[in-house]
Amino acid sequence: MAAPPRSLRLVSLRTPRFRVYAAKAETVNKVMEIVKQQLALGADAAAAVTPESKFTDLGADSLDTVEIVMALEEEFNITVEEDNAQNITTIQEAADLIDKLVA
Amino acid sequence: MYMDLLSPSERKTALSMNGEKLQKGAVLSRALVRTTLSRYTDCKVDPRSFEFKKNKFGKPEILWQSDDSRMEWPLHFNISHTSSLIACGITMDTPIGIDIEEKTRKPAKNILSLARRYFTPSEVDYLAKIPDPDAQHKEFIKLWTLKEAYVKALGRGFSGAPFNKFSIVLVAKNGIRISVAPKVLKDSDSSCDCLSENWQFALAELNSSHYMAICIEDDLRSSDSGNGRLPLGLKVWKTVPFLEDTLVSGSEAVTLIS
Repeated sequence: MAAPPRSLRLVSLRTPRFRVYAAKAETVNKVMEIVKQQLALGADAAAAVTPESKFTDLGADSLDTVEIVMALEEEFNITVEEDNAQNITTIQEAADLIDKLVA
Repeated sequence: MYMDLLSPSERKTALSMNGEKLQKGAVLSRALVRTTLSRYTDCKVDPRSFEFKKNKFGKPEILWQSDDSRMEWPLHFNISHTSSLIACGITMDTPIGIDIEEKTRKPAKNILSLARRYFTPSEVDYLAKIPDPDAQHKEFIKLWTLKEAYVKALGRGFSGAPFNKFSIVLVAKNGIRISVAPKVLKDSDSSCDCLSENWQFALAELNSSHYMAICIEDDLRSSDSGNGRLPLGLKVWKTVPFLEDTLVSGSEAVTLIS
């Protein structure tokens, strides 16, 4: 499926009524890999991870979360401010923010 | 069954955890909070009856129904978990934050990089001066739990009390102090989200396996720590809800660090 045009991407991030998967699939996959690695998920747990998975549901505590944020900052060469970091609760949300910051 | 104590939404949350171990941990955590709170009402309130709400920053609190026939207790609580231990801290009348961490928890990132990214310059200096990597690692975990405990006590979330805006200073013999960057304190707007320094801390080692940090609001009457009492009037029990309850403070299971 083709990526939606840039202007649509920004609109979708502001309108909560409908979800358009704004982040590139590649970003989502990279985030998933980083999260699975940080949390050292076993095969079964890793298989159950989806973009909607909440970090806390995957067993991440606050130290895991900051390490995930640091790993994402390094991987994508971005800086995540504290208030943005606090609002990232799922893999999809992390990927959305990354694509917004990288754009 | 612990599951029976939980509210429908707590059950739903517990079951949405990834995997049986995390689900059981979530159920146990709620069971621990409910049974412990109940006991602090002299068992007048059934564990099942408690209702909870979140403050505007997401910190969980007890929701007392305004029903004249029931007493309210000024109970505050806070929870922390690791994969092997769940801690629930309870106070009367004062906000509390608690954080536990496995001593051997090895961050994936280098300690000093984590500290540089998240801690204050003086905390980074403190850690950088420790030559032994194991000792440095332990101090990092101690600082982490103390900072977490403060943020959780304040109840404003990670972004409401950014780690790099306050320093925890471990002073030999009796002291854990918090020091807030002067710019933040001098803000004279009374409605500002200033970080306050009137908080007391305790740090202990549990079972030689975990560090536990507790933070409560400073009660000026008891700020004299010279009379040999446990800091903060802290007592610790090892509990399995309904099955076991052993006072462990004062035994080797709980070693006060400060």
